[in-house]
Formats: sequence, C-alpha cells, structure tokens
Amino acid sequence: MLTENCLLNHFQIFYQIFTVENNEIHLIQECLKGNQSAFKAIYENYQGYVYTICIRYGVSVIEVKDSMQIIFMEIFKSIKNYDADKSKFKTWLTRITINQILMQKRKNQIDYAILENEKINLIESTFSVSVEEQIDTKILHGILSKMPVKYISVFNLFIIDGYSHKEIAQSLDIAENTSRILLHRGRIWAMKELKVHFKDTISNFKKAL
Amino acid sequence: MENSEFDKFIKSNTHQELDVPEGLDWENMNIPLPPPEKKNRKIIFMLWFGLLFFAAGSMIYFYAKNANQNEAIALDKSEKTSSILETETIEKIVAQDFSNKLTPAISGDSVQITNTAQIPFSQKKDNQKGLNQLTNSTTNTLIIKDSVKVKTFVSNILNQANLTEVPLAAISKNEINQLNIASIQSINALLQFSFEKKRELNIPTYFVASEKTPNPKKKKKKNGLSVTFSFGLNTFNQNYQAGPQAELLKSAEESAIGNSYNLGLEYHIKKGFFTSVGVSYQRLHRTFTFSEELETEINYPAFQKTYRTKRVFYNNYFDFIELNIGGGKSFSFGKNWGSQLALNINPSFKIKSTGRTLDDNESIIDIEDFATKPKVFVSAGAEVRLFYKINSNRVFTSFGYKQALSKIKLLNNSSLSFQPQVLSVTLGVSRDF
Repeated sequence: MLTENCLLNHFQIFYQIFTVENNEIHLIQECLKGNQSAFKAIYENYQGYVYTICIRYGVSVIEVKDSMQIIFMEIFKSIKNYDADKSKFKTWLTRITINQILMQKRKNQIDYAILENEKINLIESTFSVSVEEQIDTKILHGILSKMPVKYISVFNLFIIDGYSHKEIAQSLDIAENTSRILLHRGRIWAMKELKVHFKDTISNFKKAL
Repeated sequence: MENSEFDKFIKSNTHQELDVPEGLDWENMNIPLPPPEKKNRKIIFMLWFGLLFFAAGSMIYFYAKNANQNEAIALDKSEKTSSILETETIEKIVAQDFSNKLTPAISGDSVQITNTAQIPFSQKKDNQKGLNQLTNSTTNTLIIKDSVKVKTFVSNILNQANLTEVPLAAISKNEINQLNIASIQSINALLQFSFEKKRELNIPTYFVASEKTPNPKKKKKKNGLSVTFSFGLNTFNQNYQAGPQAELLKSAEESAIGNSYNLGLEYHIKKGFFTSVGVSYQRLHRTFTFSEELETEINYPAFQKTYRTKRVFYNNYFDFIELNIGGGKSFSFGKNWGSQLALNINPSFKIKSTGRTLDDNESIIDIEDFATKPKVFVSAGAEVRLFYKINSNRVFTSFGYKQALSKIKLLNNSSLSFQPQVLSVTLGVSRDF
C-alpha cells in the first residue's frame, strides 16, 4: 500500500512538472500570437517571483511598480527569443529580471573604484545558527533589502542567485577582487543585522560581532 | 560559522515568494504589450515546398534514369537477337571510322561481304570465363549475358563499317521489373513517412510554487536523446590503389547514384555537443562500360575482315552495412534553424558486390564469380547537417564525405584493391526525447 502511494505521488509530481512545462510553451506560443490572456497569465504566475527579486535587490517599495513594469515589458518584448531547449522559462525570466534591476542600478552610478586595491580582512565570523533553522521570510527579506546599495547586488548575485565572482565582475563592470570585498562586507553587515533582529528567535547565537 | 553555511542559511530562508502588495495587479500595471509576431509563413512554406520538391524530384529522376538504362539494354538485345539469328541479315546501325584498325596487308584489297553470323568465334583467352561463354558455342546457340557488337569491315570501303549489336541472351523483363519495383518502393517509403501529430496543450491555471530559485552557476545539463532516420543518395569513387587493370578501370567506370538508409541515436551532452551511434545500409553504384576487342577473322578467299568487339554496359553495386560512431556540435541560427557538424568513424561490413570488372588480364569478368568473402573494413568521414526544428521534431538535409581507411580487395585471384570515397546527400527526420 505504501509503495502504491509512493508510486502515485511520483506519478503526480511527474505529471505536474510535465503539464507545467508544456503549458508554459503553449502560453509563450499564445503570447507570440498576441493573445492578451496569455500575457496576463504569465504576469499573474510570475509577479510574486519578480516582486521578491526586486525586494531582495533593494528596489524600494516606491520604485517597485515602475521596476516591475519595465521588467515585464522587457520579458514580453524578448519572449520571441526564448528557447525552451536552452533553459527553463523561469531561469530565463530570472536572468532578465536581474539584468534589468542591475541596469536600473547602474544608472545610479555606484562608485566601486575605492575598493579596487583593498585587501579582505579575514575576520572570523561569530554568527552561528543552524542551516535548517527557519525564520520569517518576510522579515529576512525586509532586513536584506536595507543592505547598503554597494553590497546588495553582489550579496544577492553570489549567495542567492548563484553567480560566480567572474560573472558578477562582468555584470557590474568591476574587478573580481572588488566583488569578493563587497561580498565579505555584505556578509558581515547581514550577520550583524540578523543578530539584532533574530536574537530571541534563534537560540544558538554565540556572541555578537 | 563558515561562509558556506551562512550562505546556505540565507538561501534556504529566501526562496519563498513574498506576498504581492495591492496595486500591482495586471489591470493597474498598464504594461505595453508587443505586437503579434509576424511570420511570413507563405515564404517559409514555399521554401520548404521547393526544397522537398527538388529533393523528391532528384530522387525520382535518378531512379528513373537507372531503370531506363537497364530496360534499354534488354530491349536492344531481344530485337537484335531475332533479327540476326532468324533472318541472318546484317543491320546497319552505326557507321564508324575503323581505318586505324586496318592491317597494311589487307588495306588495299577488295573483298566481299559474307554472312558474319556464320563465322565461328575463335577462342582468345582460354582462362576467361566470360569469353568461354562466348567462344565455346556455335553462332546460333551462342550464349552470353552481355551484348556483343560484330563489326564487319570491307577493306575497299574505307571509313565505313557495318556495326550490328548482337545480344545473345537478353535479361528477362521480369528481372528488370523487379529491380524497378524495388526502387519505386524505397521512394514510396520515404514519401509516405509522416510526422507524429502535435500534442494538444491546455492553457495553464497554476504553476508549481515550490520550484527553487534557479542557479546559473550550476546549470542543469540539457541532456536529451534524439532518434534520426534518413534516406540518402550517394556517389562514390572507387579510388583504385593496386592492380594492373586499375588505370583502365578508371576510364571504364563512371559515377552513378547509389542510395542509403540510416537509423541513428544522438545523445546531447551539453553546450551543443553530442555523441551519436547508428547503423546504415549503403548501396554504392557505378556504371561499367567497356569495349573489348575479341578477335579478327579474315575470310581469305573473299578478303573479308571481321572485327568482333564485346561491348559491356553494367550497373556495378557495392552493398555494405556500417556502424556510425561519432560526435559533433550543434549550432543554432535563430529559433528554428540550426546545423550540426559531425565526425564519424564507421566500422563497415561488406555484404556483396555485383557487376562487371576487369581481371588482371584486362578481360571482362563477373564480379560475383570472383568476389572476395564478406569482410569488415573501416572508414571515417565528416557530415554537415542543416535542420529546421518543429517543436521536438527536426527535418534535416545533410552533406557528407567519407573515405575507407583500409584497402578493400575486390577479387580473389587479383591484386585489385580500392578505397572508396563516398559523397552523400541525405534527407531525414529526427525526434527528440
């Protein structure tokens, strides 16, 4: 009985993934034909995901509507270039979203030059928490979104979106070493802030920085 | 706490989506939508229709051409046989200049025409099977598979000769029809090949919410399996390597169109690279045209000189099965178009070779009577493929070149060997899984 349930579950998961992938392809085909319902369906399915990325990268609540409008406009404009064989739709959409956010940030002209020759001071981290520990996602996003603009892009690109320092350096037009420094500072900043906010929630903090 | 652990902690707590605040719904966003993509479907359709029409037309043309050649030989033989053997008259078919064949001793003599059908053939080469068939018979019961031209030359009429084609055993029409039917069936098989119908999809209403944030650093491998089937036309050069008759054969043989059927599997690794394995049946084809002077008969009382020339036309086939092992890289041009470049190594198994060739004495022989046993040889080659993608199906055409790496011995009692060089064009379909 247990085996049957397991098989049924696996089948349901497989069917779900299979259906979603096929539906995405169908939706994209409908978008190419100019079907407004398809555009709406894509927006409604991914608005939460795009919104979360915007907040993570420090887009303010005031700017988020404009940012999302630009991002989805770019997604719809580029949808004809999407190739299902090369990547999943969500991966492709993530790339466009991040690129658009970085482009908007570039307009703010953050000066990374002073960090070029700085050496990383390897301070041993004293923040200690179990990896399995779950904390309030909304609050965590809120904290991280307040990270200084210099660090936030590198922090998100490296830790959450999985870019390498080389890729980050190319995206932000900075040196790889600068990227490492920014990440290190971002980590220290995040640890400090987390300690303040989750002092009561997380039990095994060792000591403050 | 190490950095990696901290990173894992952050990542595991940020993959959930936030609730979208009010005011960000579709109606309030006013996102300008791009215009529908205009595809000039008529032009694409016409291009494809033209390509397919050209490919199908070429195949039919070449098959029809080969079939007609066989038929023409058979008709000639049957007509001439009855006219020569029954009525014993000589027909003037072609007048040719044979002045260079005159011997000085008889060039000025006056002679009379006698009935050439009554002149017995003399044996020229005892050890030749083809000639034995020809010469060990009397005129009326002469049996040979190929046509024989008997040229009667009258020495006082220079620059003229009576040339009569004397086919002495016609290929039966049934045999020829069977060959033609086999060719037509192969074309029909290709034309009837149809694609699987596209699966109908429903408009989605939900998506899997728990999908993790994609990680570009650790891209998932886009592996996949493709099954391909193709039909091809090929032409080849024997590329003779050894044998005293090799030079003569180069002028006697001409390229003709052969065919191939290929079935393969492709495994796509990553970044467009793939490995492939497959099997194909190849039939290489060349025509053999050779005129062999048999002997000269001189009727001294009448001073009549008769040249006999055996003219053979035959379709030579070389059949083999090959295993295709290789790999290559795919390139995309836009959304649907692409190309593949592949390098293959082909262990091949020779099945049979048929037709006519020359032995070491430069006499015509039937290949099957002296053919070497089926054997394995290896060839290597390259292929360029151009494809058009329709969902997970591809229609492709390809151009390939390959050469045998080892010499292949053609005849048992001969040093004749060759290394085929094959050029091929294929039309096929593949499906991704």
